[in-house]
Amino acid sequence: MIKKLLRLSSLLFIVVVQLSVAQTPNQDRISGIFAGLSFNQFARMIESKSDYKLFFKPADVDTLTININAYESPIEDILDEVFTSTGLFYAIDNEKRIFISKGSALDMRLPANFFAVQKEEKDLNLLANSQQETEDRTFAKNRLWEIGNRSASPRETDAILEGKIISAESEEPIIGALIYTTGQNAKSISDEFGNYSITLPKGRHTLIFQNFGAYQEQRQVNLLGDGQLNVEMDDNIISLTEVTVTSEKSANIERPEMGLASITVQSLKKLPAVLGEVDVLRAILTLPGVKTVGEASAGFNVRGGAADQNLILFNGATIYNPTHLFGLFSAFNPDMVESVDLYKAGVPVQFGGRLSSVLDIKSKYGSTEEIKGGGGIGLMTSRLYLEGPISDKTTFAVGGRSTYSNWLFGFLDEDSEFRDSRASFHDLNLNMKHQINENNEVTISTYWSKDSFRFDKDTVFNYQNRNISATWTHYFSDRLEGKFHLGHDQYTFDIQSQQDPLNAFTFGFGMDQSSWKNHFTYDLNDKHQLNFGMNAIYYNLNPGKQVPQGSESILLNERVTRENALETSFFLGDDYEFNPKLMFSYGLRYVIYNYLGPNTVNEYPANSIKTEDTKTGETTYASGDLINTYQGPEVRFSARYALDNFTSIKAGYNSMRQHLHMLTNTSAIAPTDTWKLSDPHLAPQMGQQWAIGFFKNYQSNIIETSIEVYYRKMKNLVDFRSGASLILNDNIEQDVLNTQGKAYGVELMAKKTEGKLNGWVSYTYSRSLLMTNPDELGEKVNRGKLYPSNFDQPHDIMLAGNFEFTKRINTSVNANYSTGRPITLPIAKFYYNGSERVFYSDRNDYRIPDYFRVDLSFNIEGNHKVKKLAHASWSLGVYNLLGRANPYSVYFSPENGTIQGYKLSIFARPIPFITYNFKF
Amino acid sequence: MDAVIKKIHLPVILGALLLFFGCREPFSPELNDLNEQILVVEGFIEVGGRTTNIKLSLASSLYTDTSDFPVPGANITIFAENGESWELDTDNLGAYATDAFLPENETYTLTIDLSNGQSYVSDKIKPIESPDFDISFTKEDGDVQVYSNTTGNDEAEYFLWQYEETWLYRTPNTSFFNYDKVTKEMVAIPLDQLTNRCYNFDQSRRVILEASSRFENNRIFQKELLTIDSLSEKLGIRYRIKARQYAIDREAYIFWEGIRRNSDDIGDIFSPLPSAVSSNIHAVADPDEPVIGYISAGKSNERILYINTNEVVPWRTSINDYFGCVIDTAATVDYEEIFGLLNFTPLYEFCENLPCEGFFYSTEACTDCRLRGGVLQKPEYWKDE
Repeated sequence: MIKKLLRLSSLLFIVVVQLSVAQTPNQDRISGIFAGLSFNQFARMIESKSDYKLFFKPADVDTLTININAYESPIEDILDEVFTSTGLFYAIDNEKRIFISKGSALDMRLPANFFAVQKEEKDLNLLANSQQETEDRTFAKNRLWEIGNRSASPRETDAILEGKIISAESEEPIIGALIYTTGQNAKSISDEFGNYSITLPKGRHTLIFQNFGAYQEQRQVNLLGDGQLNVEMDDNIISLTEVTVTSEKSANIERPEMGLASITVQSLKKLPAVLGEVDVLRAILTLPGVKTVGEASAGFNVRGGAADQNLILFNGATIYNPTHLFGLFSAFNPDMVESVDLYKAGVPVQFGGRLSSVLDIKSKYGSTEEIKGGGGIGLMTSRLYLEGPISDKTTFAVGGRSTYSNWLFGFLDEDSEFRDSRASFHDLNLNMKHQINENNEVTISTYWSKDSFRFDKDTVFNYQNRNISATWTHYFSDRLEGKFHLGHDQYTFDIQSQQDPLNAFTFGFGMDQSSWKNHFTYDLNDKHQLNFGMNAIYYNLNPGKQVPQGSESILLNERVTRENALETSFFLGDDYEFNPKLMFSYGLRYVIYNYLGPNTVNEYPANSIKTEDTKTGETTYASGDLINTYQGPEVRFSARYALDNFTSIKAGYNSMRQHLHMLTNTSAIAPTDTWKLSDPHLAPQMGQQWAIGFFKNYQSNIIETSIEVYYRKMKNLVDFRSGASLILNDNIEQDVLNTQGKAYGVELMAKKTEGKLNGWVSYTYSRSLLMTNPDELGEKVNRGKLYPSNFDQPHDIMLAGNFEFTKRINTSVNANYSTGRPITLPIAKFYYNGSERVFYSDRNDYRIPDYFRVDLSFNIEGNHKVKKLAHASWSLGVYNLLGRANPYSVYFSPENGTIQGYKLSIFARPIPFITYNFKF
Repeated sequence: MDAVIKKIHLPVILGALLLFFGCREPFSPELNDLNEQILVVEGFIEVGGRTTNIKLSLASSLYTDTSDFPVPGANITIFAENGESWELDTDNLGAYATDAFLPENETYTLTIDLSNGQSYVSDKIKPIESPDFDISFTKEDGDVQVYSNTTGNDEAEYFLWQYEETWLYRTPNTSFFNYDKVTKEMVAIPLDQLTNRCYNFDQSRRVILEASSRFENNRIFQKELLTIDSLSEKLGIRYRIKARQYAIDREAYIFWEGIRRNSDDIGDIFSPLPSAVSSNIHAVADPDEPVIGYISAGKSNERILYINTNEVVPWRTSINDYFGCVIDTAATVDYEEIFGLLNFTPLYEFCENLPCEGFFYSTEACTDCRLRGGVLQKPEYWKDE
């Protein structure tokens, strides 16, 4: 009887609880994305979102990982889901305390108060330590923030809320965090400095700040007028876990741009590396639509464009040669890299000057918190970096790398022709940031890299990048931000040969460019964000200079006249949110290119072939004279229509102009390739791209899929007459063949961004075709027919997988298949001048065998104690695991009087690597 | 310059990479069948009295064994702008020649009529007179380099060299007797029929090109024609090189440069793309039909240089074929077996005591220089010291 009574009362009790839940739905129903959280974090979030208090033994729940997407869900539904087949049970009392227990649910028949008080005290003690650090922020989550001045603009119904999102741990800005409110459509994404701006109706809101790589923060605000709210977010815990190469979570759906790929540093470090060196450029090559002609080539090809059509920016400075050791390593120190963005299409309006893509690499400016550093020791290279505050307002980051590959040469045989070879490189970065006051910030960025080679005792080859720039960021008002950038970039190479005293020389090439950029962003209102400004680049190019060395040398002192030009562009762009579903990003960029004296320009009759014989004269221009001008607009347009929260369609068009041409007649970028500015005979390269894409995410954005289709047209590309000598050529227009091109393709991608197993698989079908301009009077390649470009590789499959055995050990696998690149092969042989010779097919009529490579790497982290002298990790693995000898090239050469075909592979066997990395 | 850079550095870069990781393996890509004939025309129109030689052949599929398919039976005619014409004589082996005197200040065209009815005609060819040149040699690091030196002018800016080599070499052992298997007697060989000294021949196979405008005062100094490696048999006794210098025009230079690049520079990472090598000879019926070859005209120069081994001392020759050449002795009773059955070659008598009690012997390979391609007959042009 008593038993029955008790049961009845507990039944009543539950009914009462449920009734009370039903009565106050807004407070007790819970929304949010709980992705990859520990139960402890989950509990804290539930507590912050509702009045529930959770009580549990940490030991019971430490194996749980929460992956739930809730929208206005009752707590019971969430908990049922969480505890499914975990052996854990819960009970909720009438004071909204949730008791979690193992084996069976807590018996509520005893007086609730009596039991709970004790439990609460005990658990609070247990949790006290770990919660201490986050207590302030837990408070920040729950307190109501009054923002703005009610009397400032009483008639406005909306107000603008701005602020900065920074990492709680490093105080670095958090880029690309999504800011939204429950119940409103307004959304915003933090920019590269962590700044966000969102327009909301006045009144109370729950703001949610969500970043991939960090769990979400929320703030209760009562918005009275325009105001500021800065937010700190945790990122250290999650950053060790599931994050992989990705655009920001759901940003692929959200953002209007297409063809943008961002790579985080964490994911960069997980990709298998050649020789243990984390490599930005190799990571880029794993993305759909990005290809290379071979493994040891410096360039990459984006959507069927040539390697010189990529603008490579490092903190805004142009890098002309992004590699060390002729393509074996990229020139960017991975420790200094903060973010990597590659724009394959939809290039933002502030960028221009190249036809195919923009690779925007940003580096660190240093932590404001404490001095820290790290580095790595590999088989061939070592690196070190240090960052931290100098004063309250000034931070720095400095990093360097060097190689010690020279010892490898020492192992060679006494009579090996490479024994006297030496190859070395180093690079240095120094970045500083100074916060003058709330509205002004100055950054200085410098970069220096140098490669030096010696293949025998007498011939030395050097190349170097040197860049320095200063940027001043000024916040004119809450809505207007201005950035002023002044920089100087230099790329030079030289060759010194003493091999033969009669022919001793030095040859030098140099590109100097000074640039001035100003870039404003203005939040017109909650629908429009304007981007405008101007860029000016002054080019000063030394196309080539040969100086005889020593008294015996009989070579001439030759130099091609220096070239000067000014490229000025003005741009205006608008990110326009028509409504939450439809968004546009469009803009116009007007480019004026002035080719300047001093110089001498050859003259030819109109519509005649340009040769030495048809040259009618030349005109000499004095310093500063305007020789000629090219100008025209570039159009940028992209639109996104969101079908729902997980699906969008995007379309875009852009046109680009390029006034710089790389002079090359090799398929790979050769270290001796020089550049040339547009002149009266060499019109700027022009390109257009149309693209359309469909993006859909599944399982609350954990799986992202996309299809992108593009079509490109290019004109005024440069090709060369057969046998043209490109070095020290003062009449290059006589050797240029005006070429046009088209490229098209479809890129399919599926990506899993979270979980123990993550990664992506992509398939690309693409073509890249060229044709000598029908108006060209000189030679026509393949008799004027369309022919595949050197990097036309129709099928490309990429698989990048990452599996976490534990938090400390993860393994990555890369697999890449692609069609072999086109090649011109000999098809016949004949006897001429005393030897057997070969007759070649039409340009690019054949292909080298298909390419297939698998890489494997392991990253092993030390333990994760926060306070430790140094954090160490090992990365080891094997590049080209299958040891497949992927041909780089196929060629024929006479061997014992007959012609023998060969295939040449660069990385023909598995190459193991190991690198020790540390942080302090 | 371009060539200098590419030649010195790039293959070595590649080499350095390959050395550590790479590999090169034989490979035979599948090629489409050659479905058309490609005529190959080689030669030079000599003006001012020298012999003009033109050779016709056909290109062959890459995987056939021979590459030389001569085209006999064609009619080749040289036309001067003033209407004169000269028909070339043929040897019926694809070689055509004329000794006619062609005036120096004319412009020429060449026509080729094949026996199958196809006709080809050349662009107009303007003769260029080659300036004087000389050849010299130096010995460095054990090798001998032979150079050409010349000075270009406004007319003659681009140069092509070809050379022919002749040299004497000796077998390690000399056979003074033959064994007569019938009579079983040793028969002395007349001194003028000994087989221990031969003349051998070679010719330039590389394309040797230079532009004088690269140099101070147009002076081409020590342009390397060839390097004779140390240990080569060429300089073992006496060596002769006959070099010929042609002055060619820019178009021809581009053609030869293309041939050179397509032979020397292909397949490296930083190799230029293969050049489409254009011809100044075109099929009359189809201007797009590929033809290989570039015919230039002019007055070439010739220089001859002899090098004696005593000019390059010390010069040691080492010939792999002659490794293991030893001298043995055969007793008289063994003649039948050693010379009759085993075909060893007798050298001369073994006479420690008189009467002589046997014969020194060696093998044919060590005594007959002709087995290595040489000839006993002294060429007409050969001048002894």
